[in-house]
Amino acid sequence: MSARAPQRRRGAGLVRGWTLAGVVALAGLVELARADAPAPSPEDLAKIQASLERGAFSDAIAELELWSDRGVVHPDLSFDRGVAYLGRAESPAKRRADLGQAVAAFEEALQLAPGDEEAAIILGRIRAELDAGRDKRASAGVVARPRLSRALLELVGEDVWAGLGALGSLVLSLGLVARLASSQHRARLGGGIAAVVGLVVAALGATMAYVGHHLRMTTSPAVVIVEQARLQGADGRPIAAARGASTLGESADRVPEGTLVHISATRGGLVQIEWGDGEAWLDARDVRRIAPSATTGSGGTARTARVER
Amino acid sequence: MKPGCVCRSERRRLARSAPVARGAKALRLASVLWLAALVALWPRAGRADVELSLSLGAREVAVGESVQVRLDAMSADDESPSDPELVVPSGFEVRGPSVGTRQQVSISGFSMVTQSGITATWLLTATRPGLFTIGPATVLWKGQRRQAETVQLSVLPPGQQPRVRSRSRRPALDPFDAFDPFGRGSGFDDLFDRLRGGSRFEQLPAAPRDLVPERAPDTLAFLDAHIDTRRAVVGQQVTLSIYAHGSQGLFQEAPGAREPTHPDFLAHRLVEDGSRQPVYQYSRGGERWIAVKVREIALFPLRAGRLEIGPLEFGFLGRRYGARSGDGLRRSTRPIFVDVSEPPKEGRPAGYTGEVGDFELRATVEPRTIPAGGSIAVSARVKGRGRLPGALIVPEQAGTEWLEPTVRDDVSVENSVVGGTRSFSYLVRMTQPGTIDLGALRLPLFDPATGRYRVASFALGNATVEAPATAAGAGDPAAPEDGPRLSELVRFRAALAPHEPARFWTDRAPYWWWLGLAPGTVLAAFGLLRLGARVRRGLAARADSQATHAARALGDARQALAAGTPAAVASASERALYSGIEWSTGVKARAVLRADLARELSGAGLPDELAARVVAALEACSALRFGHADPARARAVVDDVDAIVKQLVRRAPRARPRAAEEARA
Repeated sequence: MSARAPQRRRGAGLVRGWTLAGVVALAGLVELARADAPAPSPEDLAKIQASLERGAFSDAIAELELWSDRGVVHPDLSFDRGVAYLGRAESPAKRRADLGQAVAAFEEALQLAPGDEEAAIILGRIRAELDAGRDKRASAGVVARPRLSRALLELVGEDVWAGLGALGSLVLSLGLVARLASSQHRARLGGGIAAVVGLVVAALGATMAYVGHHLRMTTSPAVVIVEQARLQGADGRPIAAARGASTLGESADRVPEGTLVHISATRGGLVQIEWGDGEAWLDARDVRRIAPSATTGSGGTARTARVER
Repeated sequence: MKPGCVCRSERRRLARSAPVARGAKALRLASVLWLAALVALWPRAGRADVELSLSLGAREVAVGESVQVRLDAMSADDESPSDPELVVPSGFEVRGPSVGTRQQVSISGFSMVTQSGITATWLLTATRPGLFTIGPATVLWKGQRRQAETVQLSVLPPGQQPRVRSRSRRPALDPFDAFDPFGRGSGFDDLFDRLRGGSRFEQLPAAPRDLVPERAPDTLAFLDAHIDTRRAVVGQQVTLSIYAHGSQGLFQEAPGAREPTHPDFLAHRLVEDGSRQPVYQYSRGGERWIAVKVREIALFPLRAGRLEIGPLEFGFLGRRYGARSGDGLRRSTRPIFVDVSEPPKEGRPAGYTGEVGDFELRATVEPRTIPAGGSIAVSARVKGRGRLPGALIVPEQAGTEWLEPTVRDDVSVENSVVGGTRSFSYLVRMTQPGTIDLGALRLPLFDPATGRYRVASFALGNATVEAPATAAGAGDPAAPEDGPRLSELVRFRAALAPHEPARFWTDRAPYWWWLGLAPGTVLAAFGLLRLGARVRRGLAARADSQATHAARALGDARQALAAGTPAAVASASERALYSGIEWSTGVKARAVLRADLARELSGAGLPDELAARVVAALEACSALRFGHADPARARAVVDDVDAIVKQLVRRAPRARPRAAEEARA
């Protein structure tokens, strides 16, 4: 009896050890699953580059789209995709949506890396070319102005508004200190003024930051990739009702290629977009969603490519 | 002048006008001959143009259904029309065109006219409802584009079916209806009456076991719907088969059947009605039943999810079914659901665009040797099972230009499986001289039978492109005319720079805490400081208050009581009383005559009874100070004073009115 007790204890210890090892292994697997998606290797990229250099744009696009389908998000990959689509758009093998796809890819690269000047410049050039092509046609689409909140946000960016809110909060705090702690009249007066100014700035910055956060969580950017995307009602019928003060020009029943839109809802084969101050629907196949640059409400957290160095 | 008589002068006038009349007659004759010649030649001259005709397979379809659009372009000229194009509004999936050549000989006028041309066919699949204008369709003829008239197509929403079906217009009694398996036409009821009791019923083939349901949901007639699989991937064929079962003999389909809705599927009808289907017989519970397949539809899911196939509503026509005309005995199937998923992401080849099935790819290249700037013809043929693929991946490379292919279809159905052949005819323009490896045509596809991806490919081999004789000055036709192209402004990034995903301040909770916490902390800190100061002031005031003095004096009195010094007890008790009075009423009682004290205290708000007790206690203190030193009496005084002081102190402190103080002063 007394000889069996140590054996039983050893057995229990083994069970505990294996259980612990299993838990650790499971945790490791979970962490592995949560890890960033692997990026294409230099060999993969060299293969794609070789395809581009010999003019096999479709092969390069197919490979890059495959990485995109796998959920790999990286600004340079998006940029490369834009290069491939742009190359095909200017080759004999061009297809109808190539320029729109190129705009979507460069727009994605710019959203992922806002400081990418090369992407910004080429994006501007492509849009200028699309505009020039539209000017030659009678039935050109119309680009709606963004709504006021989005325009204000895009003016300086969400983080700048957030920083302004934080700064306002700091000024408000210091003003309160001066106002409450000082016994000198001038210091108390200055503190009071600073507190009021800080309160206004904090309220404005925090409100705009919240609006930006809300818009980011409830909408996702996309680019029109067809020559003209027809505006539709919620029932799928073509409409021209979005014409209004917020649109430029007269005709407002189509959205031209390369336009950045913001999707706020999806239903069946339609997507709802912000259109001026209102909403409209587009065929989901006419737009390409841009990979989210951060946490969003619609697309979840982006799987950033893990770059092997 | 008499009537009927021609006088001389008249004759002379007529003689003068005769040559004029002959000239007019000759003119008329010449005109007639010219017109005859014009008429004889007119048809040829008229047909020197190209004749275009655009037609639809159906004027009305439902969403998800396909309709064939056909363009006939005929020309009497040697040059045949080519390059057909069709303008299709959004809301359709377009397949094609499939182009075939035609020759037509006709006698028109006095001449035989030979026309040649093309027939281009597109397959349009409606994706949303509405009334659409299809076209115009155009062809290229003698360097110009010629245009055909447009046609209207009505697309009904999912759930509605086109009103016009050929079988719906069919009379109830169709002499060619194969529901009468013995070809007796309108006498089928009587015939079946004979069959029921006779032996000819037995001549019908026995129903396969899987066709006989486990139980009959109805004693007269019912419909039984099957699908071959409940789980499928997007693009995989799901076959819906519907059998009509009847126990009262032969029946026909009543007009106005409501077809199954399938908004999330592309449909290919394999069996439109039961008229050409075998009729089976089986027995159940002593009843003789017949069963016939009335519908079979190959459905191709368009999206992932739990997709619904709507019911079929069908009318049984027959005397024993209670209706020989009209809607018949109505029966319907139940909705069927199919779980559809996307093909797996694992192993997905590059360039996969959703083709599902099992196909083989073959191709021919002609010619193999061409001059620079010339074209070779690549004819590829895809054959197999599944929905015919829409496009092949062509091997692009610099110096080759693949034009849009001409597509020709030959859809076939084998054992209820849709398949067939699709031919892609490419023209490839070769601009760079040399021996060029054309690469391989590819078709990535997912085979649901094996659950794996496969890439069907065919290597095209080499082509020799001869340098042009006048090479000097002949540049690349694809070279830009002016300025760099946009694609030359950007370079492929062959290495990925380290990248951190953007993180916004507002995604972090501390940011929102900071906004409120900083000023809130300042306000809270100063509030606490002020509160502390106020508490300290209150405590100090309380330490110096008359109530505290009264309590201390009472303590002194008890100490004096313990020490046995009645005078000290009396003195301390008086102090306690005066302090208590001042705390409670603000009246400095030492300065008030004892006789006026009760009235003064009442005037200050003290109850009369308590004022009287105060005065009595003061009198007792005086008596104790100057009278006999009785400890029991001293204790009684102290206890009495203690109780009075407690009552006084319990009252809210009251400051003496300044006016009263001044008046007193």
